[in-house]
Amino acid sequence: MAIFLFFIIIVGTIGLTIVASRRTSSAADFFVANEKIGGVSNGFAIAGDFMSAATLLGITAIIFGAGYDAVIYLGAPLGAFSIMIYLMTDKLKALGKYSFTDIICSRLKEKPIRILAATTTLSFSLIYLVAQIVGAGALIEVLFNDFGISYLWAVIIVTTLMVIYVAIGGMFATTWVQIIKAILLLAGVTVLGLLTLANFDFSFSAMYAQAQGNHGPDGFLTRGGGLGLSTLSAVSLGVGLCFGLAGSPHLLMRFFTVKDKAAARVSASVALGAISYVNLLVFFVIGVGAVALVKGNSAYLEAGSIIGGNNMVSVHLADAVGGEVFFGIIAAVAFATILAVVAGLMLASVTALTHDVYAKVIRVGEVDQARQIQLSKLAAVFLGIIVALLGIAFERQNIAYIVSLAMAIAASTNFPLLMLSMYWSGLTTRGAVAGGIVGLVASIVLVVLGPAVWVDIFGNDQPIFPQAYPALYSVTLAFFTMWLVSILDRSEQAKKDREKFQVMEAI
Amino acid sequence: MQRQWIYTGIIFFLFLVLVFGVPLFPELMAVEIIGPMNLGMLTFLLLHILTPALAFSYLKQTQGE
Repeated sequence: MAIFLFFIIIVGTIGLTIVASRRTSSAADFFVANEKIGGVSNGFAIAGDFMSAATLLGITAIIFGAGYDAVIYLGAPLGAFSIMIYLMTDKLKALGKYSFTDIICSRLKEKPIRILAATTTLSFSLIYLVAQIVGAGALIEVLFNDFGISYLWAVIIVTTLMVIYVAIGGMFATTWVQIIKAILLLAGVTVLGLLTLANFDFSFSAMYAQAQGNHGPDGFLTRGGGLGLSTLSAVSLGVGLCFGLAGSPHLLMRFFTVKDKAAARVSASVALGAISYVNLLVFFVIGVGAVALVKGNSAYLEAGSIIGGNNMVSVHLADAVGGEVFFGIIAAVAFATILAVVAGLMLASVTALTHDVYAKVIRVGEVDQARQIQLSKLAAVFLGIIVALLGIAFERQNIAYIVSLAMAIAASTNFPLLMLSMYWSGLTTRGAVAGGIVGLVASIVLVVLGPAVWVDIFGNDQPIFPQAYPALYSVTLAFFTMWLVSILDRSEQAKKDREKFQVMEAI
Repeated sequence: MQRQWIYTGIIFFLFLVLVFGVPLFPELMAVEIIGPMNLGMLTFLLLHILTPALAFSYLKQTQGE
């Protein structure tokens, strides 16, 4: 059943990509669907772009293992989308065309900012892509081991599909894949939630009582402490996730696909509604249901551990409440989830290369659109090969630190760059570049020196930097450097940068 | 103060209550309110109801702008 549904998803999305390719003739079509996506449709696409495999598989696994502490992971996107709706969408839509860098360049010197933003976007997108690909490979390998699909083939299938969507269909195909994924995910978690509750005659008390018994005497299912976070770690994790998502280029670029500010606000609100709904089901029903029905259930254990690891508990829950057919449906939904996210990330990477660097820096705006699209397709193939090779090299690596690194980069570079250029008249080009570089270097160095890499990967006894989540420090450093260098900057360019802030303030 | 900053502040306040509640006051957040629902879970529920509600209310207020 699962393999049949996977086949349907692959054939269906490739069919949509071919249809989308017929609508893609200009650079505006390729990068932002020529602003033809409706507000509600774009809202579902944003939800599809945001909700990665981590939402259904990863967060359920955190509730399964650590319980209540998952609230930090689930609450952060609401903070991020609130920042987008109230503080970003109007300015993004009014001043941007293809990428968030357009907004910063409307008041700061274009060339250094484009190069910096392309570097941070590519760093974020490639690292996040590798995390998604490693997760997808492991998921497909576990689900289809009986059919002989190895990790290597799983990586090749996912990266090939990602390149096809982006290179052939551009933003139209990526959007349609994301909308389909969002609808499948919403329907999937609704049915999974209902079937789980039906197992307990729709009694929350009965479900929680059984789950509390299975989770253990510590009570961490409904009480903080399961992840063992210190106050600084908890704040750093929350800051990294929240500001990282608000600075994610693949989410920000979706606001350029609608026609005006009102449609952009509708998009963000619809996405927020969909994400809140899924979060509530995952936290109150699916996560707790998995603890009640999967934990300790011998049908899902192999040598005392969950078959396929804790990330598979929501798929096992589907089997427990809906049998083999529903197991196949939820596995296919998880697969579609990964495809939609990697397509969005790939398109953001291609835009950084061929819009920000090629069209704006190398060609200085004088660019042939057909040539730009052709280069974008080549860039998609080139990046696809790199991502596949990295995915194979990173097999069996803990993807949690890869994701935390990606989020720390976005939170420490794109987010302060955008917020200060939108809301602080004193920001100068020198300050932005200095702060962006400090944020990028600090986020990478602190993750490498922290316990996730220095101890777990390199095998050292003690980490040099004691925190597993570095965002609080790297974000603070980035903001401080931007502020300090800007107030010390007395150059002619700095005067122009400050004067141009009026453009931002008028919106 | 503009309404968008107030709305962002409300959402961030609730989010920070959840974040600080995990390491600093887990016992307070575990106080039962109704059935299996405790204060932490109620805050989480409130955050997830209030955030989209405020967003759609903001959407109505800014229609035509």
